[in-house]
Parts: sequence; C-alpha cells; structure tokens
Amino acid sequence: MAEVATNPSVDVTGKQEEVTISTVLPLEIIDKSIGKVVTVLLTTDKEFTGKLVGFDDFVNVVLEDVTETDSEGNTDGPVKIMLLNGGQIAMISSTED
Amino acid sequence: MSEVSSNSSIKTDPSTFLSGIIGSKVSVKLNNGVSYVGNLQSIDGFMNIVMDTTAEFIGGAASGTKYGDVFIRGNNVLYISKV
Repeated sequence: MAEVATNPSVDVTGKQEEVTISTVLPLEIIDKSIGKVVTVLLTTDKEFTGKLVGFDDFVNVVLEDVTETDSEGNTDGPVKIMLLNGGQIAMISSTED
Repeated sequence: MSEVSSNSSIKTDPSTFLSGIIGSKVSVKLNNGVSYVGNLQSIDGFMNIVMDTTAEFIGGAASGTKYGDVFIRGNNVLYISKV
C-alpha cells in the first residue's frame, strides 16, 4: 500500500546518507474511501454527499444515494446514482472511518 | 493507476457507469443550475453528451421547453445521473 522510496540526502556534515520516505499517493486515499459515505466539496461552494463507488484519474467520481447541498444549506435529492464531473471538485472527505 | 482494491467487487468506474447508462433516461445538470432530462444517445470522455426527447428544468421546475436532439458540450456538465 504505502510505497517506500529511498532518496539520497545530504546532512549538515555534508555526508551522503540514505533516508527512507514513506509516500502515500493521493488517489490511494480516495481508493480507500470506496464503499464509504463521502462529502465532495466543489469550487462553487456546493457539496455532494453520497456513497463513493468509483473514480478515475481525473477524479470524476461515481456516487450513490447523493444529496446536493448549496452554499445556503438548501438540499436537493436524493439521487440514486450519478457521475460527478471532476473539473469542479475541490476536496473529498470521508464522513465515516 | 492500479485497480487493486479490497473493495474492487463493488467498484463502478466512471467509464463503466457511462457505458451502462447509454440508452437510459438521464438527468444532466449544468454548472449554471439548469438540468436537462432525456434519453442518452452518446457520451464521450470529455462528458460531451447527446440526448433526444429532452426537457429543460430551471431551478428544479420544468421550463416547458422541449428539444428533439440536444448536444451539450462537456465543460458545462456538473453531473449526469440516471433517473
């Protein structure tokens, strides 16, 4: 899951040493949220909450049982299943752990 | 990217979703809030969409405007859902 990359770095004495850096890819975080309820915040102050069932490299996401909330708190839905365009997505957060 | 996931059995990729809803009645919501409901004829990777027998909804209420064939340029699409 987490990849371990070795990067050479130089310490204060100027000596080269190997430092291991653990990296987690952003899309792996989203992948771990599949099957869970997530809230997707858009750049337009709207948000969509629903079960994440899939996504692609553009972060277009497929959501199930979705409610849409605008900036004034008005809700719309639920929508059974939708494909949400990744172009407007600012943040995705899992609402359960 | 890798599709390895413990949840892979319940996963529906965007491309899988799109191929599965061709020919269905769908609702397409645009960034400006206007929705179009019609039969999905075709969709591509840009989310360019072609629908027929399309009705227009503004603010959730039918505007009364109906179209035969409609092409929607993908950059305007907020979401597409099956109805």
